[in-house]
Amino acid sequence: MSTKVPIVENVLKLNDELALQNRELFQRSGVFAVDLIGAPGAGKTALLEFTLRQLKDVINIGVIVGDPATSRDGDRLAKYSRHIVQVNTGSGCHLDANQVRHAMDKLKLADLDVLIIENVGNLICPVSFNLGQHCKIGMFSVSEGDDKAAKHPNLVVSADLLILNKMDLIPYIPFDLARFRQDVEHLNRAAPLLEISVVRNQAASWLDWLTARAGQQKSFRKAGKHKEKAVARSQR
Amino acid sequence: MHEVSIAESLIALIRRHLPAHQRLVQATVRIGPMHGIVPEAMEMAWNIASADAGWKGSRLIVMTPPWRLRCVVCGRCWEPVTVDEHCVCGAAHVEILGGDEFQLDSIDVHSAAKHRRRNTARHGRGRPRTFTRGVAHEHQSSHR
Repeated sequence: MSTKVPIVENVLKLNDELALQNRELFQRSGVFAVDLIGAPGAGKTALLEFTLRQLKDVINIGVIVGDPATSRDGDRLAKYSRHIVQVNTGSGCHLDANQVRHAMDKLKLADLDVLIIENVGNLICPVSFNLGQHCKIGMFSVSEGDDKAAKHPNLVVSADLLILNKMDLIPYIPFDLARFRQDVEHLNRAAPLLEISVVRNQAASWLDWLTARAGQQKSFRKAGKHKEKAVARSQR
Repeated sequence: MHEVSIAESLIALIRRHLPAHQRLVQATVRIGPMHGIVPEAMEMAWNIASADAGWKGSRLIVMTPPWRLRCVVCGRCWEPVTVDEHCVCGAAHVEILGGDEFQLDSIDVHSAAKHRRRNTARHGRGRPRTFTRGVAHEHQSSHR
């Protein structure tokens, strides 16, 4: 006869434990880390090229980019920054906390203000795996169709920011923008929805969001250091 | 591939909880529709990953609780067919109460010691780890 052992733990608990360690490293280095999730072709790498170009003299950005194969995205981004790590996942459809940890070892976190983790192009699997990031970003594009937010509720619900790219294509593609906005609002009213066009260089709202959040992270870290010093002084 | 990663994660988690000298008979997980798991694909992934872990023949029970939503305007709770369903009051804002579960509920274990003794009795002394193969063999010969 068998015995039942109750457990009740998250299926991905081991990944979550590693993610927590990553998060501690980000906190200690004062790095604002984001997990960028979107379908293949949504414009994730194009957005990062734009971001690295525009914020070159403003903040230091590192990128971990995940793809099943090739270093094409890494090569594209390496033109703008030396803090780029390409991860090939083979048949893996997402990045996990352990892969990110190994990639982080190749970066000097202390030199960075922001770390963007461009996940493998996929709207399903990456959502379940916590990487230790501060914010999760769900990226859609007009050319994918207006039903993608409703069809991928996990991403919409868990995202801290949502991006709709390729807005320049709206006049040429049957995309019901009101319906897309309503689907997003139905599931997640807290996350801002940024409507951008990377190829037209119309993504100022994204740059503002990123620099503001990176600034908050830095000041948080400074406040933490002041506090540590004050505590050390009071213990003397 | 999603299911394979999850099966592997489950196995690592179960190893942590499996009491010493016990064999896994069954694991029960509760996964809501939010996570996009296909139970048939999960079963297949489990069969492969659990055999690799040395738990061939163990079962995975996947419980799929339904979506449960609460309208943030009128407070009504209901179980929609799909998550994009709006409340009858017309409001388009909901809170998700259920459907996002992703947990290992329990494991059923069996004493590995008893199991070994029975195995030895059937197949003679000193034949290690032949239980599964032995049973398969018995079945085959009884059919012939």
